[in-house]
Amino acid sequence: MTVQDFASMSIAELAQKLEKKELCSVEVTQNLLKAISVQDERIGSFLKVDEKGALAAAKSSDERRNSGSSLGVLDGIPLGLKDLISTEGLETTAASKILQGYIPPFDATVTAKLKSAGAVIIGKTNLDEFAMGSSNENSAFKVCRNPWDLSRTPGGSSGGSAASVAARFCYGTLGTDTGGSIRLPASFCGITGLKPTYGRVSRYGVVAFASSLDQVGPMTRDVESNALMLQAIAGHDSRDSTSINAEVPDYQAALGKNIAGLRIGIPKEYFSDGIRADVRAAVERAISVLEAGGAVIKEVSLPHTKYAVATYYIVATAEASSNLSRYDGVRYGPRLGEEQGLNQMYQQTRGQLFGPEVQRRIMLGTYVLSAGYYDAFYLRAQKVRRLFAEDFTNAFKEVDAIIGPTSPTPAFKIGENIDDPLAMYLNDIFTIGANLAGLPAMSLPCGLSDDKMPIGVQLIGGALDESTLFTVAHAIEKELSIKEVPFNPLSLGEGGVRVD
Amino acid sequence: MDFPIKEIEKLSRLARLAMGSDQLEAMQHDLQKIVTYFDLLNEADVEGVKPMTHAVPVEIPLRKDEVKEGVGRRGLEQSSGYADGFAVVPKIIE
Repeated sequence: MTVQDFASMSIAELAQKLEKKELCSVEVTQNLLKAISVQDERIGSFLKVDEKGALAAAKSSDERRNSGSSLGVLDGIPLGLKDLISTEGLETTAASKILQGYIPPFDATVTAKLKSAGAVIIGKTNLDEFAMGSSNENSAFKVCRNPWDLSRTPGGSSGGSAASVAARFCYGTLGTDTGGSIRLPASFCGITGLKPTYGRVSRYGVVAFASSLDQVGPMTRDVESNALMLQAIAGHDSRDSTSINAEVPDYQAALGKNIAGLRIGIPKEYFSDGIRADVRAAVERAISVLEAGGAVIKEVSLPHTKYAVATYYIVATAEASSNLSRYDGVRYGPRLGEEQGLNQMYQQTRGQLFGPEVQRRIMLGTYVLSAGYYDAFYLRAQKVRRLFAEDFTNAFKEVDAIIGPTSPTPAFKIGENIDDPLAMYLNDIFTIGANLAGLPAMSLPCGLSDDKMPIGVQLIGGALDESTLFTVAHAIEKELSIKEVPFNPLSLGEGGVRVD
Repeated sequence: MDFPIKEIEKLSRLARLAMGSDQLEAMQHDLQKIVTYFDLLNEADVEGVKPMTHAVPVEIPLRKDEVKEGVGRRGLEQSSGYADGFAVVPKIIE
């Protein structure tokens, strides 16, 4: 078996090989580490690779399997974590200079859950600084490129998490999604990404961006792997007061279920003129697959969609300006201007160590919360948010899941939108709704564009109904999964050109 | 929406962000454009609509009053000004 063979396996396939002793975790981990060291310089998907920790975890896993005490399907599986998720003893930067050198003294709940399931944490993946961005271009440390075409962005903010999975550097990653930050990069990189219901997964130990919207979720190459990862991280956590105390179902049981009779809604507002023709055609093929499987396709309306971006960028920046006030040079990271007194220390540290997009959002958030503007912007946005949530409540009276494009276009070029923040924000138009309403939503590949880039189809479900999303996604995947790989995992083309 | 540079300076002070004149001007340009876009929300009919602060109903959960081990002072070790178990900062009161 070659490295290419096992690097492309699903989590369940690798787990089976490990269980049968046809492979061992140390061997797999060593090969992935080698692939990362050779190729990731050109992709930039990892900010930190924990070679020592990963090999030690892999060795422990092999010992457990050899002694018949495996911890389950994730035992020995190499995974990555977005560098927004705290890892005890391993630097966690949020891709920001203001957190450079910060070593968390504790694990996030999701990190602890994956470790206790035996997973091998291979490293921390690249992102837009503090998860603020749609292209990963806002990372303070390095650009992350799309493995399908190195001149394009992997999407953001969980760009490194998506690119590393697409590049076969690991079997899955955790990302975070505040307005589409799991689904957009999943769509751009041809992988499957799930934003669970708000509160389904603990946010304890995850660097906060917008607390009423943030959620952690799995990013994988296939739907089954995604279900296995969600199974490991879902559940109530007393350390996160917004986590929901509800039973976690068996997500694998949702795979392969008959879709006949399921009611699938098509929001007419998601098929506007702004969608590229090849994206529309690919999503329509996914709808045809469901129809052929006996699902009932119905048109639904989400009439407040046009207000999504404005509502989101008011609510999210307001929460961000408050959450990010803790970075002032006192407790974490480097400190500047200390000799000029406390106030200068705050201003210099924040002014010089936050990047431009983070500063822009802090300023916007400060503005919409400031005296005289609070009612006109923040309060109004909160009211429109309710109208938005009611749109979904009404739609889910008629359907079991909603389908549409994840993004109006496939991955765009690096630099294409970087000078126009508003144009960048508008990439999130279809993904934001699920965050504002707190609903689970998933992106999975449904084909390639005319220029051979992955296209993602988005599924949105009712609250806590991730299972229906897995059922529907599995049915689409069976017919439309992308057979092509972005490049031969161990031989990236010369000059960064994709090898077809 | 008119955004005078003085307004931007005031916001940068409130946000504790030191900015040079070039940065202030760039910020003025960006904020003007984005906040003008926010005006779209004025079209929405929000008469009688209650503001929504969270996606799910959030109650303040209670737990048993038990002592649990936390990060404690280890958390302070990450401060650039860490010394003898404290995070040292410049003088607050002159």
